[in-house]
Parts: sequence; C-alpha cells; structure tokens
Amino acid sequence: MIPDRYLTLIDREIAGEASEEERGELAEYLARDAEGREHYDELRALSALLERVDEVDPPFGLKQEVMGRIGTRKTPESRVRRRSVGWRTIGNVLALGRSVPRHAAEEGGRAMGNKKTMFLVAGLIVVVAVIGYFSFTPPPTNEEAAGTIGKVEKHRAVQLGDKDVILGGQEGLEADTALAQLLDDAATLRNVSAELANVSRLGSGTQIDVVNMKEAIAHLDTKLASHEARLDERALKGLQLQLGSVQRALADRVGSLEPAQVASVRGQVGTVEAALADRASLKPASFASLELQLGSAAKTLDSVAGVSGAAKLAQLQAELANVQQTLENSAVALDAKAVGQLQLQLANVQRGLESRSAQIQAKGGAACLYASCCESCLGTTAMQRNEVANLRLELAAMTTGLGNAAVPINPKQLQQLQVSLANVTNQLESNTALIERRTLETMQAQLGATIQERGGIATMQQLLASSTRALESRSQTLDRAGFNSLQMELGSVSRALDANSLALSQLLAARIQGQLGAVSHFLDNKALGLRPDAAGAFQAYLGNLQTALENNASAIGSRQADSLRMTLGSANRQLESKIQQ
Amino acid sequence: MNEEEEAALVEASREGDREAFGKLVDAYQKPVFNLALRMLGDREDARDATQETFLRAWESLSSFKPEHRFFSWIYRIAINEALDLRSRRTRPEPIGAWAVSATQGPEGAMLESETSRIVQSALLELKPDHRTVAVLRHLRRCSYREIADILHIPEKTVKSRLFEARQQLKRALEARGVV
Repeated sequence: MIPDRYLTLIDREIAGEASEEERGELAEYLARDAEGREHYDELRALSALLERVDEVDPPFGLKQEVMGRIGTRKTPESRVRRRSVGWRTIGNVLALGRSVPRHAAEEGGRAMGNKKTMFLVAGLIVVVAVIGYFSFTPPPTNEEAAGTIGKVEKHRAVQLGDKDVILGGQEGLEADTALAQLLDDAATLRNVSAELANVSRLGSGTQIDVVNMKEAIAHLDTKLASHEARLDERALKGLQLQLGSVQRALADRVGSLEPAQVASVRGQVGTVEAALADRASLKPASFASLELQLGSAAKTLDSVAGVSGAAKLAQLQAELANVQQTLENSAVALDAKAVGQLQLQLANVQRGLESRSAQIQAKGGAACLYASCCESCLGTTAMQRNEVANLRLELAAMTTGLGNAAVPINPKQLQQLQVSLANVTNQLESNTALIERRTLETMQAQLGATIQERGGIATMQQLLASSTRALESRSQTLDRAGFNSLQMELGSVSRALDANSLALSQLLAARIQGQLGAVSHFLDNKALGLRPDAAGAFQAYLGNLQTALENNASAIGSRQADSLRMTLGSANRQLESKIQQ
Repeated sequence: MNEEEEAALVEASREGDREAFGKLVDAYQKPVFNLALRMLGDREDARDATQETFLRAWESLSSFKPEHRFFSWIYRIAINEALDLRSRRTRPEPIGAWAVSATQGPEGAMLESETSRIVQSALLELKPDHRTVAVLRHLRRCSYREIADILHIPEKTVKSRLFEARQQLKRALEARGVV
C-alpha cells in the first residue's frame, strides 16, 4: 500500500509540478519501496502515452457559428427587459422560449426544455397570430392593394412599424443566422422551400384569400411538426423565424407600401446575399448568378422606392420569388455538395488504402528479400557445418598422421600441436551453434511482423464496415442518387481491399513456403546431429510456422494450405529424424 | 491574454458587449473543443457541445462570480454540456477515424493519430466521473485544485477518482495491447 503522500508526490513529479525538495523526498522513498517504483513506472508510461494524444484545432468557422447564434439570443443585461416586452414577433417569442436556461452553470442544475411543448406552443401562436390578424383587419380591396401613398391607413402603418418590419440590426442577424442554419440542412431546406412556394403563390394576388392563407399556415405548421423528428432545435428555430419573416412580408402586401417597408425587403435581400456570399464557394457559378439576380432586384427596389403601391407590390413579389428561387437553388447546390464531399472523402479513403496497400506490399517485398538472405544465411551455416566436418576429418587425418609420425617429432611439439587443434575444433563448434540460434531468432521475428500486417488489414476492414453502416444510417437524409453513388464508391473501396488482401495472402503463402524451404534445405544439409538447444529452437520455430499457416489458411486457400501443411509435416519428420540421430 | 485582460473582457461581456465575448470565444474555443472532443469522442458532437457551451456562457454571464477563474467556469459548463449531449444523443456512427480532420489527409488521420484513437476508445470506457478527471488532469493538464474548482468537489475526491480512473484506463489500454 503506497501512502497517500507519495501517491501525490509521484503524480506531481510526473506532471512536472514537484519542487526540488519534493523530488528529493520522492527519490528517497522510491529507493526503498519496490511497490512505489512499480506504480511510478506504470504512471509514467501511462502519462507518456496520454501526452501523445493529439491536440486538434476546432472546426473552421466555429467562432462564427457561435457568434451567429449569440446574435439570436438575448444579451445578459437585456434578458429581463426583453421578457417584459411580450411577443412582438414570432421570432422573439421563440427566442424567449428557447432561452430558458437548461441549467445555470453556477447552480449546476439541469432542466431540459420540452421541445415538443415549445413547438406546439409556437405553432399555436403562429396560427392564432395569423387568424387574429386577418380576423380583426378588414381584407383589402383592390383599390387598397393597388393604392397610393396617400391612402395608407394609419393604424396599419403603425402595426407595420420599424421594429416589426425592418430586418436590420438584431433581427437582421437573426434572419441571417436562421437562413445560415437552414442552409445547413439540405433536406429540410427543400421541404421548406416547397412550403414557402405554396404560401408565396397564395399571397401573390392582390386579393388575399384569408381562408386559404389560414389553411396554408396551418398546413405549414403541421409540416413543421412532421419535420420535428429530423430537425434539431436550432433548425426549428430558424424555420420558425423564416415563417415569421414570410408572414411579415405577406402582411406588407395588404396595403400600400412605405419606404420603411421597401427597406425591409431590401434588408431581407441583403441577408440572403450575405448568406450566399458566405457559401459562394459551394457552387461559384450558380451562386454568382444568384447574387447578380439579387443585386439587380435590390437596385430595382431602390429605383421604385417612390413609385405607387401597385408597382412596389409587383417588385416585392418579384423579390420574394427571387428569394424563393435562391432557396430552391441552394437546396440543390447543398445536396450536390454534401454528396460531393462524401465522395471526395471516400476517394481519399480509397487512395489511403491503396497507398497503405502499396506500403504493405513494399514491406512484404523487403521481407521476402530478407527471407532469401536468411535462406542463404542458413545455407552458409550448413556450409560451415560441412566445413567443420571436413575440418574434423582433416584434423583426424592429421592427428593420425601426427601419431604415425610421432617418433621423428619432438613429443612436446606434438602435444602443443594437438592442443592447438583441439582449440580450433572447439571454436568452430561453438560458433556454429551461435550462428544457428541467431538465424532462427531473426526468422521468428520476421514471421511475427507478417502476422501483425494481417492484423492491420483486419482493422482497416473493420473501419470500412463501420463506414458502410454509417452511410446506410444516413441514407434517409441523402438523395437516392447520391446514396447510390456512395454505395458504388464503397463497393469500389471494398473490392480494392479484397484485391489487396488476396495479394497479401499470396505474398504470405510465398513467404511461408520460402521459409519452410529454407528450413528443409538446412536440415538436408546437416551432416552432423543437431545440438539439443538448436533442436528445441527448431521445433518451436516449426510450431510458429504451423500456427501462422492455420491462422491464414482460409486466406491462403485450401489447396495451397494443404501443400504447405505437407511441406511442414515433411520438415517436422526430418527434424525428428535428425534429433534421433 | 493575462488575467486582467480576461477579467476586463468578461466584465464587458456581462454588459452585453458581443465583441468582447467574441475575444473570449477566440481564446477558449480550442481548449473547450478539445475537452468536449475527449469527453465525447466524436468531432461533430464536440462541435455542438462547444457551441452550446458558449451560448450557455453568454446567457449565464450574469451569474458568473468574478472571484472565480473564467476558465474553471467555462470548463464546468463544457463538461455539463458534453455529458448532457452524450446522454441524449442518438447520432449515427461516425464515418470513420479519418473523418476527424479536414486538414489532415485520410491516411494521415488514420496512421498518425492511431494513438489518439486508441486512447480515445479507452477513455470512453470509463465512467463519466472518472473520464472527466482523467481528461482534465492528463489532457487539459489541470492541477488537483483546479479540477476541484471546476467540478465543485473536494481535492480528496479528485485524487480518489483519478486513482480509479487510471486503473481503469490502464486495464483498457492493456486490453488493446498498448501498455
């Protein structure tokens, strides 16, 4: 049991926080306690590993997203004031509902907002607001709709005051953010665009059909509810803001226009332009075209600012149609981009696999080369053994010769010669054993590396399977065509992997075969019996080969595996025979 | 940014100065994002958690007590957001380890951050309390005192959780053949 004091010191020392004095104290403790040393080593190893975890950069545009969303939130100081204002616009009401803190950081609380309830309440407010507006406001006559500046009804002018209509400043930011968020969800955007088109068509006549408007709003509300499952909270909010914006624009059409209202529309157009500028890189050509259209529309609005209401109404409708078209086009562009990005990503993955595969093959080639070196090394060893045997024979012959010639030679010289010869023999014997052991160890390590490479391929296969599942789970949000295209890409990657696996299997089989051949060749050439330790190492080595063969049998193919098993069996029998000898 | 500058920015933010708050986001987006990433193990979730963290911070600035360190406060919010997100998220499986970086090629992401991937998967096996202290201590390099401040728990509890977290982490990494 390590005392708490030293646990802390160990931790502080490894974190580089320990003082000189603490380090000294710890060193004394570690010198006398084995358990402490073990814990110290373990923690140091763990810390070193964790230090290698990458520090990654945040996603591009994260700050802009945060600041954009903050633009839709109340400021800390204005929270109470804005709550007391009540609902001025749908967006404000929803912002209040959204801003109820789920938890206050200092309080540590955590109160989840009920999204469903919020949504229903918001939807109800929309419907009530629209019904209320059209119930208590007499529908405009043709004259009113096409009216002049002089016929502006004062109460309506007040109702459509700056705060409600002009989308500059805070509301401009809200609309900008809402649009930006909508653009992030291509599928949702397409649905909403269709709904907006319906509403726009209903409101395009000079006579506004209140009943149809109510139905359209209610229908859109229902649609929103049906989208809830797929939309996250922020997309819903953006959608609701967008709906509020359309309502205000429709309300504008009821009477004749004022400069402030023209400015309002200009603000909306500006918002769309800004959002488009942010995303100009998606499809430069189409967005450039849209920007031109919008710029032209904005100029037209400028030029008609002082003309009669009917002309302004027509301009406003044209502008709304342009905005609508922009949304439609953005949806298409975004879909294409999302699919394009995924395709690019998959192509990158495929290139990565190919590159990895090339590395593996190159490594395999190097290993083969190394194996052939090992083989020649074994051959050399065998040759050395033969040389030893020859040398022994020569030595024996010389000894005999010496014995025969003992009489004319000085007995002392003869004895020295005999000792010298015995030394040479011993040296040769011991060197041969060393060479054998080293060669076997090298080949075993090489086999281990081969098995690791197989593990790498298996990991990559798992990653691919994971990607496939992920893509399938996203199929609902992708275009069918896009999904099919991605599936084809995946199929292609999978085939590439299969092809590489096969190549690797063949490579592996060739290498095992080469190694077995080397063993066999070595055993064949062994003129003398094996030393007991070398025989044991050989048996272990053959056992490893057997395991590798069985592990890879399915990849190698049954025919080739059987052939290898026979070769291995033959090698085993040879070894047994040599051991017995 | 020194402490005085930071305090001035926090004070200005409390008064509704978005530009000042933007500078705080600049300074803290990387540590907060990395903290969330290690807590969640998914880049998109970490992005969402980071956004929510700063939004919560903006809304709750009036409750921030100037005698506390801002980083402790924002880390605490980030940890709450991350744990909250993880408990309710049913996001589809990520598209693969190489999808984590837009600037790093897929092969680079796959090969170079192998260690990160292994450690990350081991971290996700820990209980949330243990993972939190392990991430704060080893990956955010917070002291015991700072962790205690962030989590509002005694230092002694920090030590015991950290000890347990390391044991679990060691076992998880051993199971992956890393240590």
